[in-house]
Amino acid sequence: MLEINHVTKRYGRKNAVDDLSLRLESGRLVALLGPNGSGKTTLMKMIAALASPTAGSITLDGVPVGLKTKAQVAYMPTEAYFFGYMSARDAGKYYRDFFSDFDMDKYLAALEREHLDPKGKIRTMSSGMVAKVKLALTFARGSRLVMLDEPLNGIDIVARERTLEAIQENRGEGRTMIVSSHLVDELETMIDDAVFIKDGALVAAGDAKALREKHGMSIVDMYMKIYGEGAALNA
Amino acid sequence: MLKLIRYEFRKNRTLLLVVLGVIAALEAYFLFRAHASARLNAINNLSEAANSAEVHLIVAMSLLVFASFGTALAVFIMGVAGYSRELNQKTSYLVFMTPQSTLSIVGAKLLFTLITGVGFAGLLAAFAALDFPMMLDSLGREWVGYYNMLDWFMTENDLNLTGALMTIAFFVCVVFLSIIATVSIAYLAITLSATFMRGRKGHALVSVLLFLLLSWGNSRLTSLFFNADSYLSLSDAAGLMRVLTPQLLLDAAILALSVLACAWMLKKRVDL
Repeated sequence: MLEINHVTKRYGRKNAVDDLSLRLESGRLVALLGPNGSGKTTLMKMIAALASPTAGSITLDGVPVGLKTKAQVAYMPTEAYFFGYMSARDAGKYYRDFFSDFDMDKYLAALEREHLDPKGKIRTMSSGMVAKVKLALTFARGSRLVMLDEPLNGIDIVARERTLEAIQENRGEGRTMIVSSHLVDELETMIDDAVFIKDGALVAAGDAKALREKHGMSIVDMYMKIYGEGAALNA
Repeated sequence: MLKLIRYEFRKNRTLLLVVLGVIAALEAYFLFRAHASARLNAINNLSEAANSAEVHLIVAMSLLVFASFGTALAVFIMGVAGYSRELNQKTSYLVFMTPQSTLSIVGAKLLFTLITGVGFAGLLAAFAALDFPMMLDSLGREWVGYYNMLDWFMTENDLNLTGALMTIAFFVCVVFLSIIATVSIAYLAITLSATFMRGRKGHALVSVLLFLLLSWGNSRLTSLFFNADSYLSLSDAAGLMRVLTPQLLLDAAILALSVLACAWMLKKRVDL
């Protein structure tokens, strides 16, 4: 279980995340929603212990996020983050060397399924191919918490479908999955929970079905209302 | 940490191969010139061709000496630039998302720099040991051998064999520790800049200015412990060590403090 308690992250005078509290149960697929610059990535980085909160605390199963939890958290950044020399196979070897939960066979099978050459240099791949490599690496780990930062960005419609399928295939089994996106319609039907963030602050969060019933509208419509019209949801 | 060091070598493989290639090419040029000079000297050591070959040989040796300084600079830049790149590029995710402590990450980078420096120094020393007698031979002068040279050195400085070897080993330690302490100061400057000026313009310039400032502070501190007017004599190995030991200890302390400060800031303050 992931617990975020009154977390604030300040960059200069701006609060990227503003006194945010959240509790996510195990085994859920959570959509972290908000437009660009709303604080989604900053929040994910803090959960992945790649950034420190200015105030507040984050715990994973009661353990403050840090060195110990890094072994249990699979974070997929939105950017390509590989060393220049790396082929897809090299990236797999790197993960195998540093993450005990990494399954090389599963990773290579995923590459084959996506028609990706393990010997191919990642720096020469298209953004869609890099996205597939990142996804294959992340899902080849047996982590209890998986975070995908904007996995649907910069990829074509076919790759988008494949990404959504991969998310469906790898969910469950006590694994919590957080997917950040501003492309809500693609996620609407598959998510268990939705978390809306605006200017770093939590606007609404909870079970997606309950949210729909409570506000009488779809998650997409809620998104439009919060970020498009700038209106608050009814309490 | 060993895995991290292995990946440091893998990441820098191209640059390491370039430096090795340059050294190998210069050594090959020297060997070619030494052979040509020896051949021409054997025919007629007063001929114009023999004199020209000697000049080329000295040029080749000079290039190797310059390459030694260039290599030291390249290793320093490789170590420092690698760390700076790690903090400022997206590849940092790959390193910092692993369950490795920040102390291991900084330590691995420093050890990579040290191992690379020692490796190149060893290679260049081996080439020098090979080339020096060859050069004298090619120039038609008698090479008396390393044993005789050491013997002369010990006699001149009133040293015994143990004393001479200890003095040399001590000097080598002082030099390498001093270099690695300087690299750690550069790491500290980069980490401080990344901590307090993240994403702001001019943070690279601030890193350089901080490095210069910290290095100046280090030299001022050194001058407090190390008296340059002290009488230094190779014949007094114990005295020499006594004078240089504070420098050695100071560098070790600076190295330890810089590494710990970097690791702490990376853990608590730096955002990737």
